[in-house]
Formats: sequence, structure tokens, C-alpha cells
Amino acid sequence: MNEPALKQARLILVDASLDPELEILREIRERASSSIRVLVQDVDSPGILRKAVNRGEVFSVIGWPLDYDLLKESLREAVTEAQLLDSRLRLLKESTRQNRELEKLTASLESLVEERTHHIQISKEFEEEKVSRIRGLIRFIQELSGSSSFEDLIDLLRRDLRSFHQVHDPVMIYEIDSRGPQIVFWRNSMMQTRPWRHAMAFVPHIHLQDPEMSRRLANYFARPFGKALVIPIDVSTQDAVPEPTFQLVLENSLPESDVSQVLDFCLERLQPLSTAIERLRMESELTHFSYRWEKTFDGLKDPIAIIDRSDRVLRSNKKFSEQLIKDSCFKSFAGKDERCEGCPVPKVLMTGQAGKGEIRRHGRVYEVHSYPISLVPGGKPTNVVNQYVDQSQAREIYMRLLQSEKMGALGLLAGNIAHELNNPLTGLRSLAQVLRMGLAAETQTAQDLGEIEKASERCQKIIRNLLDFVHHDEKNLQDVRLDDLVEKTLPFLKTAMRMHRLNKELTTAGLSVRAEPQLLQQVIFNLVHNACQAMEKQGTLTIETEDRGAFVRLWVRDTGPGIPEGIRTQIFEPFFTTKREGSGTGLGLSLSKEIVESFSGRIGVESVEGEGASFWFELPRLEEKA
Amino acid sequence: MRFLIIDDEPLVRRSLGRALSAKGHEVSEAVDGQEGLVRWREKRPDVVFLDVLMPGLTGPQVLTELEDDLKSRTTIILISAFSGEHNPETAQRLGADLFVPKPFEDIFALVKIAEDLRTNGSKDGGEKRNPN
Repeated sequence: MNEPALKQARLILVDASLDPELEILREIRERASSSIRVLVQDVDSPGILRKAVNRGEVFSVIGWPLDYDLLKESLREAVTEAQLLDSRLRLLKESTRQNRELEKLTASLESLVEERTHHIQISKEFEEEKVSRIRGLIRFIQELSGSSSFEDLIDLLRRDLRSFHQVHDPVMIYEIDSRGPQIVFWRNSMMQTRPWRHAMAFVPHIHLQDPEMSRRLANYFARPFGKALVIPIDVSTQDAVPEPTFQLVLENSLPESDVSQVLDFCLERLQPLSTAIERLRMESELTHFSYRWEKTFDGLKDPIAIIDRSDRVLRSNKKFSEQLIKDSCFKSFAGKDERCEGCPVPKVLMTGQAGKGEIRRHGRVYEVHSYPISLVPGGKPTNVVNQYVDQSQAREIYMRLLQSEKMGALGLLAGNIAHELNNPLTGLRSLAQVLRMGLAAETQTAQDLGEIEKASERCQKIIRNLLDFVHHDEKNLQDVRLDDLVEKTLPFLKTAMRMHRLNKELTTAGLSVRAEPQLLQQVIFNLVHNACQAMEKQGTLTIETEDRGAFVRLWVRDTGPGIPEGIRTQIFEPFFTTKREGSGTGLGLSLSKEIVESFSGRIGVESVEGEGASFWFELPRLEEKA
Repeated sequence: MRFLIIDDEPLVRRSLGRALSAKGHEVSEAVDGQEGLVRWREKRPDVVFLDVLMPGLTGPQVLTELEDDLKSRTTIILISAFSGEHNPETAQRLGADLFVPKPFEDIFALVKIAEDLRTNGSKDGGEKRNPN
């Protein structure tokens, strides 16, 4: 059978007599399924018909002999059928094609949707990552602001860097103060800070890979050190010396493409980090500053306290009270339940002028110097600063001076009495002896004269006892350095000197004199005390020692009114005083003279009226011992 | 012996004068340093009792004023009612032979000491005792 012809055939007439088994029909159906098959047969056998339908799917069967009309009819039907079939086929084809196109379209739409979905997915992930990054950054900043040490800051950075598996713990090299460069690193999860002995070459640029740094750190840690990403941190400062420098070194094994990610991560954190470092630095400076103030405050010898308007202690130094009790000043200082007698604070707060008063505490006398301060700008005094000067020591030495002045006065008086009485007693006793000489011892007169003699002898003894009492002669001579003695004596004179400027020129450090230190101290005390009293307004007190060869001299100069020439010789006489009644006995200088002279020294004064007075005393200089 | 008593206290002059006279000595008196100098030069005494504290010239001042040869020829006994400033050493330095605080324990003992000092002392007492 001609294959193409078969395929193109639309109507096929098959003679059943040619193949009673109708195999051909099947063949045709298989090869040209879209053809219309008509079977011509002469035997009207149901078997053949069945075969024709089952095997050949014939359209119609025409009996033999041919009836042309029937044939024509049949063929026309067949042709119609074939045409129908054709058009169906075409339709089918068309619809199949359209179906295919539709399918294609659907597929491309689907892929589009898928692509879009994918994109959306990606951008969502990106956004999420961004949000989480920003969240991380915000958390970092929050934690930075809460951290209280430089180590905490670096630890935070280290924790954040953990998200990069190829980045090791950070190493920080910095120089922030006079300690010099320091290195901070982690060993066994413990942070270590050590001095960094290499000169700190501060590089202002980022190094993605700094082999020099790797080499140095490898040497430092004595182990291989990975790639070093070096990031400088800029800490803005105005006044720090030396300029603080920070370098963050990240040891890493990152492929080059990933370094920028870490870098970005770090750069985001640098600004807040440097701000935090700056904050910490300022805080530490502030702490240091306040620590210094506190120490200064506590180091002062006198108790000092800041007190508010209702007598509460705001701050005080250790001398004031060991523990800081937020209590009233009188309770915490003197253990009293009410304001101390003599307290100057109320007046100071009222007038706004500094004042002073004397209070007693545990048997000691304190001079309270009270200064008004205002803790509100431009306002009235809100507080006072009180300084408590222990007067007891100064008072003791002053009392001793007064005591010796009194004894001096008594001595002088006794001396005078002795002189005045001894002369008449001499006559009395001697005359009694003369009168008795010519008489027999047993006579009444001789015995009476004996009584007179005994009485005068008793008077004489009384006088001698009195003299012995006021001139206790036991001497306690020592080698004394005038310079040292001046230093020892000045603390007792703090109150007297507080108004004045003190100018000390002690130049005889190695030189000694022979004297009783306590007595000589009284002389110095006396001269300085007088000088201070002589200066009514603020003046300058100069204390000088001078090497004058065989003598060591001490000068006490004041800038007071000076001493009129007429009385310069009198001032060393007993009971001479220019002070108002009650301020002194007028024995201070005479006593000083007596003391200095008792150590073979001399005392004197030089003065220009209106410009001040310079008192001096000098004592023989001791040979320096080898 | 010739004695001179220089003291502003009449009772001292009187009692000492009586005791010396009682022992047979020749006694002159002066009421202060100024008069004492005059009497000293005039009488050229062997022994002088000289008070320290007197109005006008004090005892030590009298000794400074006095001519050295006169001083060296006289036995000088410094007497004082005020033991504060002078003692045997300072007296010696001034040129005195003895310092005696007032009041005297025993006036005759003092006279005896004065005589002995004159007779046996280092000063040229022998010469003075027999001037001619």
C-alpha cells in the first residue's frame, strides 16, 4: 500500500471479499485513522459485520451488487462524514494548539509569580536582616551607655563580633593617659590589660590586612597570628595629654570578599564606641578630680564641714567625723542636742559675712571660722563652710606663758621685797649681836636680844624660801636648732597669724645653740604673738634666722606701726606694756630678755616708725660636732 | 685697820660700824656711791664694805670709776641684799675680794673674816698695815 497516499486518503472503500478476515481494515484504521472507511461486501454475514465494526470501525457497509443510488447515497454520507470528521479534526487540532498555548501562557505566568514571590522573599529576608542589624546596633549603643568601664565597652564589642565565626576576639591597643600604651586582649575568656611596650604608631587609616601588626602581635602572644584588620578609633578630645589613641585589631581568617562585611559591622559601632570611650574618660577624670578634692579635704588637719541653713552637715572631712552622719553639726561634731554655745553660724548666715566663734567639744576649745557660701548661683548664702581650729594647744602654751609671766612678776616682786627687807634685817640682826656682845649671856636683856636675833633670822628664812620658790633654778640645757624650734612653735601661733601673710626665711638649718627648748619656745611664741598683735590690719610677718658668725640670730619682723624711739629701751623692762589693759601683763618682753640672757644671749629691737618693728635675739653658736 | 662702809641703808652702816668700832677699828661711812668714791680717795681705807644697789652710783660702778692702784691696794667686800645678779664670781671679776649676801649671819664673824682677808689675803695688806 502506498503509505503517503493512504495517509492522505480521506475516503477508503474496502472490498471485503479481498480479505475475509478484514485485517486490512484494521491496518487502514491504524495507519489512517482519520479516514472514512466504507466496506463493500456481498454476503450479509453478521460475523463480517462484527469484524468490520470491531476491527475496522467502518462508517458504513454497502451490499454487493452495488446499488448506485445507495452507493451514491452512502458515499455522499461518507464524504459528509469525512468532511465532518475533517472539520472536527481541524477543530481538535486548533483547540489542541490553543490549549498548548494556554498551557504555555500559564506556565510562564506561574514562573513569573514564582519569580516575584522569590524576590519578595529575598527582600523580606534582606529587610529582616537589616532590622536585626539595626536592632543589634541599637542594643549595642544602649549597652554602651550603661557600661561603666573601658573593659566593659570592649567586652561588648567582642560579644557582638562573635557572630562572625572567622573573627577572633578583638585586641585593643590604646594610649589614654600617662600610663603609656596599653594592650587589651582575651586569654582563656579572661580580659587582660598589659602595657604595650612597642611604640604606638597610630595610623589614622583602616588597614584591611596589616602584616606588620600581625607580626608584632605574633611576637607578643608567642603564637601565629592571623590576618590583622586594623581599625583606628577616633576619640575626640580637647585637652588630654598625650592625645589618646585607640586601635582595634581583629585577628581573622576571612576571605577577602567578607572583610568588608566585618568592616561595615565595626564601622557602624565605632562612632558610638568612641563616644562612649570619651564619656568614660570624662567620667574617670571627674571621679579622679572629685577623689583629689576629697583627699585634700580629708588631709586637712582641722575639722571642716559644709553646713546648711538648718544646721545639717552636707559634707565633712574625716577630722570632723569618721562616718558621714547626715545629722546636725552639733550632734555629729560635739555630740550635743542643741547648737553649741558661741557658734558663729547663725550670724554668718544672717549677715553674709565671715565670722568666728569659740565652742567647746569634749573638753577642748575650738575656734570656729565660718565662711558663707552660696550653692545657688547669685543667691544669698545657702550654706557655711566651718573650719574648727583646736585652740587647746595654743591656749596651753599661752597659759604657760601667762603662768611664767605671773611667776616672773612674783619673782620680781619677791626680789624687790627681799632687797627692801634684807637691809633693815641686816641692821636688826647685826645690831642685836653688837648689843649682846657687852652683856652677860644670862641677863634678861641679852636673852631678849637673842629673841630679836632669832626673829630676824626667821624673817630672813622666809624671804629666802620665797626667792627659791620663784627662781626654780633647775636647768635643762640642750643643743637646740633655732630653725627647728621655729617650725615647732609656729603651729601654736596659727590663730594669731591667720590674718597675716607669713614669710619664713630659715637659713641656719645646721646650726645649734645651747638653751632650754621650752623656754626658748616661749620667747619665740612671745615675739611672734606680739608682732601679730602689733599689726591691726593684715600685714606681713617675717621670721628669719641669720648666721652671724659666733651667734645665731632670729628676727621677727612685722609691718605694724613700729615702736616710738622714746620707748625702745623701756619695752624690755618689767610691767611695761602698750597693750590695752587686760591683754598682757607687760612682762612678756622682760621675761624673754631674762630667758635669752640666761642662755648668754642678747635681745633687741630695730624699728622705723610707721613701717614696723624687727625684734631679734641671738645666742652663742655651738661648735659643730664632727 | 681703817674701814670704809659704803651703803645707803643707815641700819647697815650703823650695825657694821658698831661692830668694827667694838673691835677697835677706824670706821668711815658713805651714804651712796658718789660719797663713797670721795671718802675712798680721801681716807685710803684698808678694807671697804661696798653695797651693790645704791642710788646714784652702784657698787660695781664705783669700782669702775675708782683708780686701779687704789683698788688693788684695798681689800674690797661686796655686800648685797639682792642676791639675784651678783655672786662671788662676778664680784671677783669686778675686782672685789669677797661677796657677802645681806643679812649677815654673824656680824662678828664677818669682821673677823674681813680682818683675816686683810692680813693674809693676796693684796698687799702688810704694807698697808704698816704704811710707814
